[in-house]
Amino acid sequence: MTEPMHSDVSHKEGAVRTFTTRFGEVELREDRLISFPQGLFGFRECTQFGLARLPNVDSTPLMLLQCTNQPGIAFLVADPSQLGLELEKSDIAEALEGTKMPEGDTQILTILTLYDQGDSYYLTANLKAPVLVDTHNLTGMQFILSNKTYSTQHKL
Amino acid sequence: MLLITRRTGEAIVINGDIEVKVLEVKGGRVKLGFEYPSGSTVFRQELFAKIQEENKAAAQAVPQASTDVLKNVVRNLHSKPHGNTAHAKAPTTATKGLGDESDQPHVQPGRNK
Repeated sequence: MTEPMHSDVSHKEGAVRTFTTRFGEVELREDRLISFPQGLFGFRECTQFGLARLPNVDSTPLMLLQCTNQPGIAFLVADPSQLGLELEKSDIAEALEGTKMPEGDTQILTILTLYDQGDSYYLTANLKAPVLVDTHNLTGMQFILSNKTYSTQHKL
Repeated sequence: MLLITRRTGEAIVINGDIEVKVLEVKGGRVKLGFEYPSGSTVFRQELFAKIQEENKAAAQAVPQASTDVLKNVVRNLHSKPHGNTAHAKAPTTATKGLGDESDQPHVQPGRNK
Protein backbone atom coordinates (compact mmCIF):
# COMPACT_ATOMS: atom_id res chain seq x y z
CA MET A 1 0.00 0.00 0.00
CA THR A 2 1.48 3.31 -0.97
CA GLU A 3 1.20 6.09 1.53
CA PRO A 4 2.02 9.73 1.00
CA MET A 5 4.72 11.07 3.27
CA HIS A 6 2.19 12.68 5.58
CA SER A 7 -0.22 9.91 6.19
CA ASP A 8 -2.47 12.03 8.36
CA VAL A 9 -4.14 13.17 5.14
CA SER A 10 -5.74 10.20 3.45
CA HIS A 11 -7.78 11.90 0.79
CA LYS A 12 -6.16 13.05 -2.44
CA GLU A 13 -6.06 16.74 -3.14
CA GLY A 14 -4.66 18.15 -6.30
CA ALA A 15 -2.55 16.32 -8.81
CA VAL A 16 -0.83 13.06 -8.05
CA ARG A 17 2.17 11.82 -10.01
CA THR A 18 2.63 8.12 -10.41
CA PHE A 19 6.13 6.71 -10.75
CA THR A 20 6.71 3.15 -11.80
CA THR A 21 9.72 2.00 -9.81
CA ARG A 22 11.49 -1.31 -9.34
CA PHE A 23 9.46 -1.74 -6.21
CA GLY A 24 6.08 -1.10 -7.72
CA GLU A 25 4.00 1.98 -8.37
CA VAL A 26 4.62 4.97 -6.17
CA GLU A 27 2.22 7.89 -6.00
CA LEU A 28 3.50 11.32 -5.11
CA ARG A 29 1.24 14.26 -4.41
CA GLU A 30 2.27 17.40 -6.26
CA ASP A 31 1.58 19.54 -3.22
CA ARG A 32 3.86 17.33 -1.10
CA LEU A 33 6.94 17.46 -3.30
CA ILE A 34 10.10 18.68 -1.61
CA SER A 35 12.37 21.27 -3.12
CA PHE A 36 16.13 20.68 -2.85
CA PRO A 37 17.65 23.89 -4.25
CA GLN A 38 21.17 22.48 -4.03
CA GLY A 39 20.21 18.94 -4.91
CA LEU A 40 22.29 16.26 -3.20
CA PHE A 41 26.09 16.04 -3.29
CA GLY A 42 26.98 14.67 -6.71
CA PHE A 43 23.38 15.25 -7.84
CA ARG A 44 23.05 19.00 -8.06
CA GLU A 45 20.51 18.70 -10.86
CA CYS A 46 18.04 16.74 -8.70
CA THR A 47 16.17 19.67 -7.26
CA GLN A 48 12.77 18.16 -6.58
CA PHE A 49 11.92 14.98 -4.72
CA GLY A 50 8.96 13.05 -3.40
CA LEU A 51 9.15 10.84 -0.35
CA ALA A 52 7.10 7.68 -0.22
CA ARG A 53 6.86 4.43 1.72
CA LEU A 54 7.99 1.44 -0.29
CA PRO A 55 5.01 -0.22 -1.86
CA ASN A 56 4.76 -3.94 -1.17
CA VAL A 57 7.28 -3.96 1.67
CA ASP A 58 5.38 -3.65 4.91
CA SER A 59 6.45 -2.62 8.38
CA THR A 60 9.74 -1.14 7.44
CA PRO A 61 11.20 2.27 8.07
CA LEU A 62 12.71 2.23 4.56
CA MET A 63 11.37 4.88 2.23
CA LEU A 64 12.01 5.96 -1.31
CA LEU A 65 13.26 9.47 -2.00
CA GLN A 66 12.30 9.76 -5.65
CA CYS A 67 13.73 12.56 -7.75
CA THR A 68 10.83 13.99 -9.73
CA ASN A 69 12.72 16.20 -12.16
CA GLN A 70 15.22 13.42 -12.98
CA PRO A 71 13.00 10.36 -12.69
CA GLY A 72 15.84 7.88 -13.19
CA ILE A 73 17.31 8.88 -9.83
CA ALA A 74 15.94 7.61 -6.53
CA PHE A 75 17.39 6.84 -3.11
CA LEU A 76 16.50 4.44 -0.33
CA VAL A 77 16.30 6.45 2.86
CA ALA A 78 15.19 6.02 6.46
CA ASP A 79 14.95 7.95 9.69
CA PRO A 80 18.09 6.69 11.47
CA SER A 81 16.34 6.55 14.84
CA GLN A 82 13.95 3.99 13.34
CA LEU A 83 16.96 1.87 12.44
CA GLY A 84 18.22 1.97 16.02
CA LEU A 85 20.87 4.56 15.16
CA GLU A 86 21.20 7.70 17.23
CA LEU A 87 22.79 10.91 16.10
CA GLU A 88 24.18 12.96 18.97
CA LYS A 89 21.98 15.88 19.99
CA SER A 90 24.84 18.27 19.36
CA ASP A 91 25.24 16.93 15.83
CA ILE A 92 21.54 17.30 15.13
CA ALA A 93 21.80 20.85 16.42
CA GLU A 94 24.76 21.47 14.11
CA ALA A 95 22.74 20.21 11.14
CA LEU A 96 19.70 22.30 12.01
CA GLU A 97 21.89 25.36 12.41
CA GLY A 98 23.77 24.69 9.18
CA THR A 99 20.62 24.14 7.12
CA LYS A 100 18.67 26.83 8.96
CA MET A 101 15.76 24.47 9.50
CA PRO A 102 13.37 24.60 12.43
CA GLU A 103 13.81 21.91 15.06
CA GLY A 104 10.15 21.01 15.39
CA ASP A 105 9.34 20.52 11.71
CA THR A 106 12.53 18.93 10.47
CA GLN A 107 12.77 15.30 9.52
CA ILE A 108 16.22 13.71 9.48
CA LEU A 109 16.91 10.97 6.97
CA THR A 110 19.93 8.90 6.12
CA ILE A 111 20.65 7.65 2.61
CA LEU A 112 21.04 3.89 2.44
CA THR A 113 23.24 1.99 0.02
CA LEU A 114 22.47 -1.58 -0.90
CA TYR A 115 25.60 -3.71 -1.25
CA ASP A 116 25.88 -7.13 -2.84
CA GLN A 117 28.04 -9.57 -0.90
CA GLY A 118 27.62 -12.49 -3.26
CA ASP A 119 24.88 -14.60 -1.78
CA SER A 120 23.00 -11.82 -0.06
CA TYR A 121 22.61 -8.08 0.21
CA TYR A 122 23.14 -5.71 3.09
CA LEU A 123 22.42 -2.07 3.68
CA THR A 124 24.72 0.67 4.88
CA ALA A 125 23.64 4.09 6.12
CA ASN A 126 25.45 7.34 5.40
CA LEU A 127 25.39 8.84 8.87
CA LYS A 128 28.10 11.36 8.04
CA ALA A 129 25.90 13.26 5.58
CA PRO A 130 22.23 13.08 6.56
CA VAL A 131 19.42 14.63 4.56
CA LEU A 132 17.25 17.15 6.37
CA VAL A 133 13.69 17.90 5.27
CA ASP A 134 11.72 20.89 6.50
CA THR A 135 8.31 19.25 6.45
CA HIS A 136 6.47 22.54 6.82
CA ASN A 137 8.14 24.52 4.04
CA LEU A 138 8.87 21.36 2.02
CA THR A 139 12.54 22.06 1.42
CA GLY A 140 15.44 19.68 1.77
CA MET A 141 19.21 19.69 1.99
CA GLN A 142 22.03 17.25 2.60
CA PHE A 143 24.41 18.26 5.37
CA ILE A 144 27.89 16.94 6.17
CA LEU A 145 28.39 16.61 9.93
CA SER A 146 31.70 17.74 11.35
CA ASN A 147 31.78 14.91 13.92
CA LYS A 148 34.54 12.58 12.73
CA THR A 149 33.12 9.43 14.30
CA TYR A 150 30.28 8.91 11.83
CA SER A 151 30.68 6.61 8.87
CA THR A 152 29.44 7.10 5.34
CA GLN A 153 28.90 3.34 5.30
CA HIS A 154 27.52 2.30 8.67
CA LYS A 155 26.53 -1.31 8.16
CA LEU A 156 23.03 -2.18 9.33
CA MET B 1 41.93 25.39 -12.66
CA LEU B 2 43.16 28.86 -11.78
CA LEU B 3 46.75 28.83 -10.49
CA ILE B 4 47.98 31.46 -8.08
CA THR B 5 51.21 31.43 -6.11
CA ARG B 6 51.14 32.98 -2.65
CA ARG B 7 53.69 33.60 0.07
CA THR B 8 53.01 33.08 3.72
CA GLY B 9 50.73 35.84 4.91
CA GLU B 10 49.20 36.47 1.49
CA ALA B 11 45.56 35.75 0.69
CA ILE B 12 42.99 35.23 -2.05
CA VAL B 13 39.43 36.56 -2.22
CA ILE B 14 36.65 34.54 -3.87
CA ASN B 15 33.27 36.03 -4.88
CA GLY B 16 34.18 39.17 -2.99
CA ASP B 17 33.38 37.61 0.39
CA ILE B 18 35.41 34.44 0.87
CA GLU B 19 39.02 34.88 1.93
CA VAL B 20 41.68 32.19 1.91
CA LYS B 21 44.97 33.10 3.57
CA VAL B 22 48.24 31.19 3.63
CA LEU B 23 49.24 31.17 7.31
CA GLU B 24 52.20 28.85 7.37
CA VAL B 25 54.17 26.64 5.03
CA LYS B 26 56.22 23.95 6.71
CA GLY B 27 57.39 20.48 5.80
CA GLY B 28 55.30 20.16 2.66
CA ARG B 29 52.13 21.20 4.50
CA VAL B 30 50.27 24.45 4.09
CA LYS B 31 48.17 25.91 6.87
CA LEU B 32 45.28 27.87 5.42
CA GLY B 33 42.89 30.27 7.14
CA PHE B 34 39.36 30.86 5.88
CA GLU B 35 36.86 33.62 6.35
CA TYR B 36 33.47 33.19 4.75
CA PRO B 37 29.86 34.25 5.13
CA SER B 38 27.57 32.07 7.22
CA GLY B 39 25.72 29.59 5.08
CA SER B 40 28.89 28.73 3.19
CA THR B 41 30.43 25.31 3.71
CA VAL B 42 34.09 24.42 3.62
CA PHE B 43 35.27 20.83 3.39
CA ARG B 44 38.43 18.92 2.72
CA GLN B 45 38.11 17.77 -0.87
CA GLU B 46 38.56 14.10 -0.03
CA LEU B 47 35.64 14.17 2.39
CA PHE B 48 33.45 15.90 -0.16
CA ALA B 49 34.46 13.35 -2.80
CA LYS B 50 33.65 10.52 -0.42
CA ILE B 51 30.14 11.81 0.20
CA GLN B 52 29.51 12.24 -3.52
CA GLU B 53 30.80 8.76 -4.19
CA GLU B 54 28.54 7.22 -1.57
CA ASN B 55 25.51 9.10 -2.93
CA LYS B 56 26.31 7.75 -6.39
CA ALA B 57 26.68 4.20 -5.10
CA ALA B 58 23.35 4.53 -3.32
CA ALA B 59 21.59 5.80 -6.45
CA GLN B 60 23.18 3.13 -8.65
CA ALA B 61 22.12 0.34 -6.29
CA VAL B 62 18.44 1.23 -6.43
CA PRO B 63 17.74 0.11 -10.01
CA GLN B 64 19.46 -3.18 -9.22
CA ALA B 65 17.31 -3.91 -6.23
CA SER B 66 13.85 -5.40 -6.23
CA THR B 67 11.01 -5.82 -3.79
CA ASP B 68 12.18 -9.36 -2.98
CA VAL B 69 15.72 -8.21 -2.26
CA LEU B 70 14.44 -5.47 0.01
CA LYS B 71 12.06 -7.82 1.79
CA ASN B 72 14.99 -10.11 2.57
CA VAL B 73 17.16 -7.26 3.71
CA VAL B 74 14.37 -5.88 5.91
CA ARG B 75 13.80 -9.34 7.39
CA ASN B 76 17.51 -9.56 8.24
CA LEU B 77 17.39 -6.12 9.83
CA HIS B 78 14.57 -7.14 12.12
CA SER B 79 16.15 -10.42 13.08
CA LYS B 80 19.41 -8.88 14.23
CA PRO B 81 20.05 -8.69 17.97
CA HIS B 82 19.80 -5.14 19.24
CA GLY B 83 23.54 -4.86 19.81
CA ASN B 84 24.25 -4.81 16.10
CA THR B 85 22.44 -1.58 15.52
CA ALA B 86 24.93 0.15 17.72
CA HIS B 87 24.96 3.79 18.58
CA ALA B 88 26.30 5.70 15.63
CA LYS B 89 29.28 6.88 17.65
CA ALA B 90 30.64 3.41 18.29
CA PRO B 91 30.41 1.42 15.10
CA THR B 92 31.09 -2.25 15.63
CA THR B 93 30.65 -2.97 11.97
CA ALA B 94 32.75 -4.02 9.05
CA THR B 95 33.01 -0.46 7.82
CA LYS B 96 36.01 1.54 8.71
CA GLY B 97 34.24 4.59 10.09
CA LEU B 98 36.75 6.92 8.55
CA GLY B 99 36.87 10.44 9.84
CA ASP B 100 37.71 13.16 7.42
CA GLU B 101 41.24 13.58 8.81
CA SER B 102 42.60 10.26 7.69
CA ASP B 103 40.93 9.79 4.39
CA GLN B 104 42.32 7.09 2.20
CA PRO B 105 41.11 6.17 -1.25
CA HIS B 106 38.12 4.02 -0.57
CA VAL B 107 38.17 0.25 -0.99
CA GLN B 108 34.69 -1.22 -1.17
CA PRO B 109 34.40 -4.84 -0.10
CA GLY B 110 31.77 -6.92 -1.82
CA ARG B 111 30.52 -4.01 -3.85
CA ASN B 112 28.03 -4.72 -6.63
CA LYS B 113 29.86 -3.78 -9.86
